[in-house]
Amino acid sequence: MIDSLLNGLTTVFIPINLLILLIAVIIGFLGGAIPGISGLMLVVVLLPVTYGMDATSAFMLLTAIYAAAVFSGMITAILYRAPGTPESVTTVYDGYPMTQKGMAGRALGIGILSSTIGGVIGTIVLILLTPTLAQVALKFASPEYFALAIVALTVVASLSDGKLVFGFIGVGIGLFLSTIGIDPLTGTSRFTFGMAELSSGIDLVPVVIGMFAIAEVINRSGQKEVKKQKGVKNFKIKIFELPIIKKIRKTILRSSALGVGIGILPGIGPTTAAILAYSEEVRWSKTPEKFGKGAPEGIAAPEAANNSAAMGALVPLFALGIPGSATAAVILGAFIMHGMNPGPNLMMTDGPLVYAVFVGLLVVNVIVLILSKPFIHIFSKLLEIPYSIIGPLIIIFCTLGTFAIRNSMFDVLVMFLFGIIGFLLERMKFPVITIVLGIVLGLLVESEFRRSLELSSGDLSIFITRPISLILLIIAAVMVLFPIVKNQIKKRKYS
Amino acid sequence: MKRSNVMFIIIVYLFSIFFLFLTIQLPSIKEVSTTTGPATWPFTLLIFILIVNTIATILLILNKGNKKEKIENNNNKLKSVKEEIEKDIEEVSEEVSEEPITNRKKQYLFIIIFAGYLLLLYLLGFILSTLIFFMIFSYLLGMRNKVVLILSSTVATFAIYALFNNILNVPLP
Repeated sequence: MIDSLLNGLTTVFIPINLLILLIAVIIGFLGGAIPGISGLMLVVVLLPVTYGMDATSAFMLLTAIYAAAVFSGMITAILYRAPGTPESVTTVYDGYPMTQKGMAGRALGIGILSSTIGGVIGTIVLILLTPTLAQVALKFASPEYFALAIVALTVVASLSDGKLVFGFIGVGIGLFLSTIGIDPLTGTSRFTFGMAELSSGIDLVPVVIGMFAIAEVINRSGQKEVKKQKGVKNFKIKIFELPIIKKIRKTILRSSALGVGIGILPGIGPTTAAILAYSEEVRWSKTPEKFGKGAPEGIAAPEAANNSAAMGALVPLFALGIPGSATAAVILGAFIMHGMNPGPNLMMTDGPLVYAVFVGLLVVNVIVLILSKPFIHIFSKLLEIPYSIIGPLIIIFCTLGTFAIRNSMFDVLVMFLFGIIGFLLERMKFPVITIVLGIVLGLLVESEFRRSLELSSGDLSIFITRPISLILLIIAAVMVLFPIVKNQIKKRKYS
Repeated sequence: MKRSNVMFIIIVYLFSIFFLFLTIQLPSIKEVSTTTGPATWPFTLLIFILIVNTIATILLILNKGNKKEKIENNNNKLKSVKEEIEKDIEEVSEEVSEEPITNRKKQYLFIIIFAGYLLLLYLLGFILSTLIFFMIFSYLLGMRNKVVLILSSTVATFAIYALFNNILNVPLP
């Protein structure tokens, strides 16, 4: 492993790659800090742009943006009570009060420190655990892959945000949409309506860009412009204040550990990790009253957790090909787009790339630390650009990016349609990410299912007679039933 | 019973039944060399969707019936909690900014105009369409200053053109 890491190091330090990392951090910073633009959106928008790039650089770019965006969400959360990304929503509870007391500099410093440490811990876990999981994974054949894909699909339970039934419908629709096109096993055309463009199926990227980016701009077009907050005066950002560090170091370590653990679980990402870390800090604290009024731990916990969870979410992605968070799911799409086979074999087939990405992430955390101060200063001025200019920019970037995938206006049409669909579904509070989940995993699920049946000559019991497959299916069942049971218990408690 | 929920369930039914009809027309298992035909999986999925959709319908009907009981229970709880909330509201109301009011018509208009942009993009190419529509989009989103509109549109269009065409080597419509 050390060899691979050193190899990764040399790859990362090629000037062009360093430049890419730098640009990625800047883009991630910008996007994450602007409320309304999240890491997910950035990765989605830049996905088609990376198509022409060399695979290693492309993935370094995407993962670096991902890491940087999780980091910068806290800037506007602390300064303006407006989380730049969903992962920083809990940071407002103790961050903004600190700003109100004139201690914005300290709040930002705590946030930066916690995020960086969380990110580094997460990356280390990523580097250490992924090969292990990969070795285990090589014992997988078609039935195990199918069972694994089912486990991945069960994350629909936690992604549904309480609306389990809708979540299942969403996954079902997503899975179905992935059957459109030419059937890989028999060569028959399915649901193509004679259109040549549909023979390769509905591309993932236009769907995701449409349902998230476009839907959001459409939504914003109907919203009133938010009034500017009271002016933020110039302040000094202090990162290394010893007395504070002593106070929060245990919090940071605890939350980072919690974050990585949660991130690794498919379907639960940095946002949930941040919320859980914050609530656990409050629960176990000897002085819970101080939270909500500017307690340093209140910033340290969620910020450490969201960054470590962001890294943790990449573990199942690189080791097993299962996305650990919504953004990881998009990166999964990127793998497919670049012709790679994400899955347990990725470490074998594309080892150098994976390690370059790992080292890249470590470097990114350092870059983030160095660049954070100047960036925040510049950023307070950029915030003055109104959405009426940013909105059109998003539309144009998305449209061009989508067009660029296959030089096809058809894809742009798909993006547009799904933009409307996403917009309407969001209005109903429908968990659209479940549809994305279905599309992403659809091909895997179907082909492995059918191949397994080929292996067993039609015998369905193959999934239960093989031990690993059986265990995975049981896990899947538990993960689906658990929230339902939990809900029922909750309901009885309150009546 | 939310109207949008009902609409959604109906659309899902129509969608599934339509595709179910198509699925049955695909070559059956006997005609292909593999154990499972091309229709098996889509068929399973559609049945799954139909079942879950029916569960959703049942839940929706059940919820409508339970609503009156729930409201009475809630009223009793609410009275005891009301005083606490009133105190909190006083504290919070200073900080909270206005609730965003959603302008549906504007959103639909936006969608139509976006469709127009795409059409024009196809017919006229990138530079012309973007120049025009950037200003229109901007205006829709609230920008009123004419100078800024024209300036930002021009700068953005040519900057993006340069970025995509020259730096990234990505073909434009």
